Amino acid sequence: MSFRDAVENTPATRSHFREGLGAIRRRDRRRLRCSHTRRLSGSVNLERALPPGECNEPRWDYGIGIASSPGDALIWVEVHPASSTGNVDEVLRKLGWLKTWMRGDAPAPWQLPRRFVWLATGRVAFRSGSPHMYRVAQKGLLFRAGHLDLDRF
Amino acid sequence: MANETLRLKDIGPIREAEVRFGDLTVLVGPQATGKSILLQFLRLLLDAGPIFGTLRKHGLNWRREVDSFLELYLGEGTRGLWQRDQSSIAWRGSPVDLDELVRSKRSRGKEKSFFIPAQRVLALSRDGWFRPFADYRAGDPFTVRDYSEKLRVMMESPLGRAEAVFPQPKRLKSEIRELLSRHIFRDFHLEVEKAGPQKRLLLTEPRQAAKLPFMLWSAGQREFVPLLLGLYWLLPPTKAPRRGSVQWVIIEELEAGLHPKAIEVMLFIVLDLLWRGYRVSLSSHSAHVLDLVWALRNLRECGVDPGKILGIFDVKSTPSTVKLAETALSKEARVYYFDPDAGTTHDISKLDPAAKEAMEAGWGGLTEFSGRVAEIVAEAVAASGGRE
Repeated sequence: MSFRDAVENTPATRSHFREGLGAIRRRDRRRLRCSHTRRLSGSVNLERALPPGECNEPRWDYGIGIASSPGDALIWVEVHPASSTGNVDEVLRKLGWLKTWMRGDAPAPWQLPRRFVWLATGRVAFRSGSPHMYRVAQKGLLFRAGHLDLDRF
Repeated sequence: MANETLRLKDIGPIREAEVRFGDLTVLVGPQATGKSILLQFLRLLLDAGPIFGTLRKHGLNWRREVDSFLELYLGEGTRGLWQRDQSSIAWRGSPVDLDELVRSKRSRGKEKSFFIPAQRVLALSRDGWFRPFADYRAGDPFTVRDYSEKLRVMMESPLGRAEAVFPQPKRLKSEIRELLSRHIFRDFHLEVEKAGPQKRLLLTEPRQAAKLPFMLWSAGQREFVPLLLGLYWLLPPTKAPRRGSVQWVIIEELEAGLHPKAIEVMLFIVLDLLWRGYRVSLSSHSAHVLDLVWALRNLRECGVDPGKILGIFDVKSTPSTVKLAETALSKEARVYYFDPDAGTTHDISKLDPAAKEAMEAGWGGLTEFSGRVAEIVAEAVAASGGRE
């Protein structure tokens, strides 16, 4: 299954597939680095696809498709501050919501190989090796500060 | 603050190092990148007279040659570290002529620094007493011999005639004694046993009447006792905050052989040294040390109540500890990374985990491993669908 199929086979996101990084807000797009743009198989903005009226839970920000062998891989990216340890709970709540949503309403994306990334903005209040970072890792969440290099996926 | 900058060029593994010393300066980087060389040159520049005097007093002659001097000072095998046409030193903005310095007849001067060497455990003989300067080989590093001799002489003073060396009511702040008892000595005391003219240090447990000689101490206790006595040397039991003319404390590998809890205690002691007005320069391979520097920087920028610093050490707030915390927040801390490939130093004082430079974000390699561990686990958990 391709990333595009996964997005378009999910009722809530059907009309929200965008080519390349088109679904990513401009201020967040500059935090993403990608030198092989042909590998990008699209993006989706979940906040737009699931507006507050339809979803009262804290939603995840973006899904990005990357061409990978044998098919596409899905990188779920949450752009969120990391300026206090309280942010860890916020992001883990969002991750919990995302996984529940995928299991219930979005089974198609669930079938793609996936990574979850917390892309931290601004000042970072904890360092690698801290218990907070291990807590994040244990939930399957990669932590990146400042920028995300999509070429590494 | 004065321009306390040391520049070394083409000395051993160092191609070009520049360190501007703050109130607290931490040098990090892999082994054999020149951190100890830089610290030992710092001491030489501060205390050339007393160093020459000690060597001469023990009949050691370097024939006014740089290579011979370095073999006596840095230790055997360091001949050739200094390349006559390439190596250079600049201190406080002015070049230093090493040839001229080692030809100097100076043998006196008040010591401005106290150097605690990484090999401090060697200061104690297997009999549990400090070795005299002459007990070492001529090629052993001067810093170890000198440290050992200073502690030996101190232990010939009333301190060595007292029964309990630790705890001592007039030595160290009560909060520090409490931390040392809790994390290092536990129920043990450090005592001097005299048998005729001979003395030795024992760890004793008064309730069980246990007396442990040096060879039965844990590795951490063996490391810590010479360190503790070095601190006694620096912190005299008088109202004077510092010892004599000493202004600089240089500690190689502060964490050597210590459990993380003991490292925490040592870091609290470093804050005490800063409060006393010492300038502290140390090398370290411990992320704990940089945790403290990072915390001080961030807490200062956030303008927090200084008492928060005490929370880091689980120390009670008392007028004395609050003063210590306030002082810590007012001090300038600097961190330098020694790059093994380039042979250069880099100022990574901000320790910003979001820094573009990997050497700063990874704290000179000290958090790199933990970062990789978190990364690999996160990927494995995400790929397995586990914990979902």
